Amino acid sequence: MGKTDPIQLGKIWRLAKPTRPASGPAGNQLGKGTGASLEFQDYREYQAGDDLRHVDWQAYARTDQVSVRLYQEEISTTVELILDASLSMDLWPNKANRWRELCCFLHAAATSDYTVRGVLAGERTFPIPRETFQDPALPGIHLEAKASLADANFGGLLRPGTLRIVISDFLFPHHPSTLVAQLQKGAGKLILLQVLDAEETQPSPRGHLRLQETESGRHRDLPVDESVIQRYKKRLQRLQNGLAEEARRKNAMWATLSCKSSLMDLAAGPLQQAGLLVPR
Amino acid sequence: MSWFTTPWGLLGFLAVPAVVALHLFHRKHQNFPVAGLFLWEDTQFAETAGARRQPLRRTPSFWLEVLAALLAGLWLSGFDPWGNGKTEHWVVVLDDSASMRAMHASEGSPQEKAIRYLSDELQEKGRRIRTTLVRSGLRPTLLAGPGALTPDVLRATEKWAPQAPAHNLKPALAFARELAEGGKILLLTDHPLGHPQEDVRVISFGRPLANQALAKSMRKSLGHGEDKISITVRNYSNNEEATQLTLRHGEQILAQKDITQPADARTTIQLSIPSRLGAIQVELKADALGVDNQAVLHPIPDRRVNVFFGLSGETHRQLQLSKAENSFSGIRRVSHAADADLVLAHVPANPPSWSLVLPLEENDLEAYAGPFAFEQRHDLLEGLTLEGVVWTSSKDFPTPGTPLVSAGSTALLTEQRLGAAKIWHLNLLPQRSTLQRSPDWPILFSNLIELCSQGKEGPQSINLVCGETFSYHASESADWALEGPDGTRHFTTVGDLHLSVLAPFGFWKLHRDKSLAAIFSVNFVDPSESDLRDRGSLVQAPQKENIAPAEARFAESPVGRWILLFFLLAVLADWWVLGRRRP
Repeated sequence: MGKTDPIQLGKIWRLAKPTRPASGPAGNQLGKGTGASLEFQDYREYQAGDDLRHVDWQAYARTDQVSVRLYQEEISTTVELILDASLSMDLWPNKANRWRELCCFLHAAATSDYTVRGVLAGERTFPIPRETFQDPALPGIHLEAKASLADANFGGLLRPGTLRIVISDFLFPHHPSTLVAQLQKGAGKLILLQVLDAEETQPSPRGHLRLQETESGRHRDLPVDESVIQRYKKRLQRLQNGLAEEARRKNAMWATLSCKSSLMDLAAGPLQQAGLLVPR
Repeated sequence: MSWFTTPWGLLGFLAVPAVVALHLFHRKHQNFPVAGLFLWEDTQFAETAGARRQPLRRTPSFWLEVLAALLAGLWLSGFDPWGNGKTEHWVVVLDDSASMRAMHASEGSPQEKAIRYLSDELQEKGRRIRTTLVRSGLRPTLLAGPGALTPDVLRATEKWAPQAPAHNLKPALAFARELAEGGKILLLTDHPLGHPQEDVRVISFGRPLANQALAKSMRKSLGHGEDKISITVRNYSNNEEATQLTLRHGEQILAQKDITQPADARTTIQLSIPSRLGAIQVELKADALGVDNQAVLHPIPDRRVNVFFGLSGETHRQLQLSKAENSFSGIRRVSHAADADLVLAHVPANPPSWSLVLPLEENDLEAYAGPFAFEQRHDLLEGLTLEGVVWTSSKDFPTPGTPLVSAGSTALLTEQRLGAAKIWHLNLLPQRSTLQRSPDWPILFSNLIELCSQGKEGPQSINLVCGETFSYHASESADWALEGPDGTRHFTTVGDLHLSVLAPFGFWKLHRDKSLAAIFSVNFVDPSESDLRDRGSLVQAPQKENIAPAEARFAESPVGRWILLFFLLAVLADWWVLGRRRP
């Protein structure tokens, strides 16, 4: 099976129109009211924290199912691709490749419906020229930043009301609420895509190792055995759960993408299931 | 499988368990990059000090290192399963005669040439030779081996200092044949053998040289506080030669004399010195052989016998003991029996004094005119004939002990031992006998004094000639320490001490129970070794070569080169593997 061209693949898929329960964040805080500009699109099952004002009581009376109405979100026609350029993204060759493919693919998938703006985040943030996405190798893009997304200063690069897609591994110390709020600031819709290598999701026992953090250079000597790996996996799960919960609460989208899967599988799998992509 | 037991091989094979242990206990952690260290940080894990065993990880690096250690062991041990470079054993006999040190002005000594030759041979034969090194001498000894490695052989030759007097090489060659078990034997000497050996290759490195030597060095007590020194210098050359003789006492030169003598002549120099002077050093001017140019003469210890005369006046007179006392310089008369070494009396003295007991009463006499049966090999009776002697004895005189002289069934002279002391019972009535007037009497009396002198505690002689045995008479057991040129040796004896095969050295010191018992010298005097005119260089091949030519047997095996190559490849591969593992 030949290697998939992410740009060609992007012509098969397109970005779905974002939806949300009318106005206000989901979760355990109440929403701030309905927006008249929202166009009804779909139903979904009620989840704890949804605004009770959007529950379709008539449907409840008919079906005994508590559902909320979803409305087409009124957002800008601009997509902002925020790409994490930290060193850890280049830690494993597979991870770096998948990250590049994903960037090109999403750019290609969004181009037909949106104006796409790429932003590279590191110690410094700067816009990525459109031509860069025409080459899957992303020429001129180097994953060498030692600062994490949490420390990125976007300045005036981000615009309000955009569909903002952040691609990172999110493997840096953070508070989920603060991070999501920081990334969501001003965005019409926030999509968080976590790209992880198999070595990060399923590490194998390797005996005594000196674990060295790529960005900070900090290290720790550990016997990487089954028990240590189990504890690592629990912490990773906790990190992912925290971000997913916070994203759901703030009506953002969260998906974890494993580099073990091909780009085609990722598009048809987690990206489509998360509602980010629909076939053309 | 002899390769398996070589020290270098064993050392190499030890590297295998060492590599395994290093992999089990090593604490050097491999670097492993991670994105989020905070996810790994584990408060449950605390690093402990010291080595902790880890599960053995059979990585390519581990296997390559084990392989490299194994190959190193095989290479160092000279492993060769096909026997292409089979190890050969030979026995080398080094002639230990002192003339091996005779120095030629430009070529050096035969000893140096022999060592150089042996070293070259061993280097050429490489690692596949095992050597047994035998030193000839009055007693052949093993210098290295059996089957020693080349470095051990070369170390042994460094300590080899030929110093033996002339000796037969046959015992050393017989010893070498036992050790060689049919293998090759090489004799390195300085003079060609009279006829080729059947199985021994003989290489002589000698050169005919002129030499002058001390042919005799003697010190003798003259009594009255004077010693006589007698030195004989001999010219072992075919021409007239000059030398200089020097006698020193410490730094003080007692005498110095220039001696010029024709070919093969000898010159004797005598002088008297005070007995109180300690060791006298005798030196000749340096020439081809150094060991025969020097001697040390220590003062002769007083070994006179203290005699107490306790016989009745008539017996004393009849035995002419006053005359004997004046004639024998080895006698000192004492007035108390307790101070005497020898008591002549009618009743035995108390040990440790020795006694010669004669009968006092002239009752119940019995006269014998021979024949007398006597123990001629006994030291007391050496030289006696008892011919024409009329021997009158007393029937009442008890004669316990071993009969030395008998007439019929009657013991006339017996020897009784009481511990270290001896009692001779002489059943002789001199008034009615002729023994004391015969030539046998002074001989018997002289033998008696000599025996008593030898029975005194102390050294028998202290100015020895190389090859002589040093004897120390001790009546009781003792712990000894002998200080010499090779350091100090310790031993324990019960009774007399005899030391043989001592090296020429001026100041041997013998300590008995931690106190100095004697200082003695061993001086090299041996005309056969000093006369270097018959030395020569020759290679005498054995009549029968036991083994294949050396070049074929000692050829270096190609297996070793292959093992070395694979070892290097394993090391390089390990280096490459380790390099790849680094991020």
